[in-house]
Amino acid sequence: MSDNIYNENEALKALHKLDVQRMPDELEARLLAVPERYPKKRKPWLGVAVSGLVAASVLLVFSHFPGREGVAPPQQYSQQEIDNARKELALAFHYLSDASQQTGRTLNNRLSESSSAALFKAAGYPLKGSEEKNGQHEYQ
Amino acid sequence: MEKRYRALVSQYKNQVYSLARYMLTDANDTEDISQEVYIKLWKHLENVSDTQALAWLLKVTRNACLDRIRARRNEESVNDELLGEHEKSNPEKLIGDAQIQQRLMSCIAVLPEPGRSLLILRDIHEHSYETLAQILDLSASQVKVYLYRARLALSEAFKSRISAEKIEDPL
Repeated sequence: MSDNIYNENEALKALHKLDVQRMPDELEARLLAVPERYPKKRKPWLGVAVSGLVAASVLLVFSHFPGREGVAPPQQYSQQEIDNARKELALAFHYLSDASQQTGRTLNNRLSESSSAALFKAAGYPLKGSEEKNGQHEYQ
Repeated sequence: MEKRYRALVSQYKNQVYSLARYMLTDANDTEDISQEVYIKLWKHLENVSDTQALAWLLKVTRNACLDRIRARRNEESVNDELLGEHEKSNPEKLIGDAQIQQRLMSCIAVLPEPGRSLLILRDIHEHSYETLAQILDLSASQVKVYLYRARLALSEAFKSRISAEKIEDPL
């Protein structure tokens, strides 16, 4: 058989006859004992970080939903409270409207005065009360 | 986690052991490497999925064997050591297929990489080309080319080995 091995094919045939080697039982037992021999140490900072995260999430939840009130349905108002609120709102709108009308009027007056003054000034007829005093214009 | 580790030991122990055995040929070194590989697996178990486990184990085994071979080379010639090892482990004259297989193992052990690993993993362990490509970080076509060259190199090495033995021992 040794002589036949000079043939390349014979060498490769012999190669295919080689088997996967079997691990000795003793070594397998040693490998199975690895977890006991090398116990995994839990990282201490990991525990602290996890508990911190849990505490933070609990705080977050309670800050958004404080007790039973937070998740309770919205409070119902009496008819009188609603009427009062309506009156206050109407009053507030009335004041707002007055203020806006007053502002509008004032603005309008000032604009018309200034434009007339400018026209008369351009024409060479200064209006009474619109003269410049001490270098400052009255309208300013 | 321990259960999963034990399952991976049972499932792939022979693959790891056999690759190391064919690459190193020395039984003690093989045991050291197998142990080293499985300790590494235990330490990195979270990062190794079940589908990747075999390729991961064989890759780590191969790298560990190459490191061991490099370390040996620093001490003495690999060829001398391997031949000496076989003489020591087999003092009685081997005959027939067993003799051929023993010589073949010696020749495989001295083949250049990646041919040696490919030859063991493909022709002995019978892994797919895809698995080989994954383990050795090669493309499928590279695997085929290297494997072809490795087979030729093995035949040549074997022929030379037999010729040398015949000259030494013409009887």
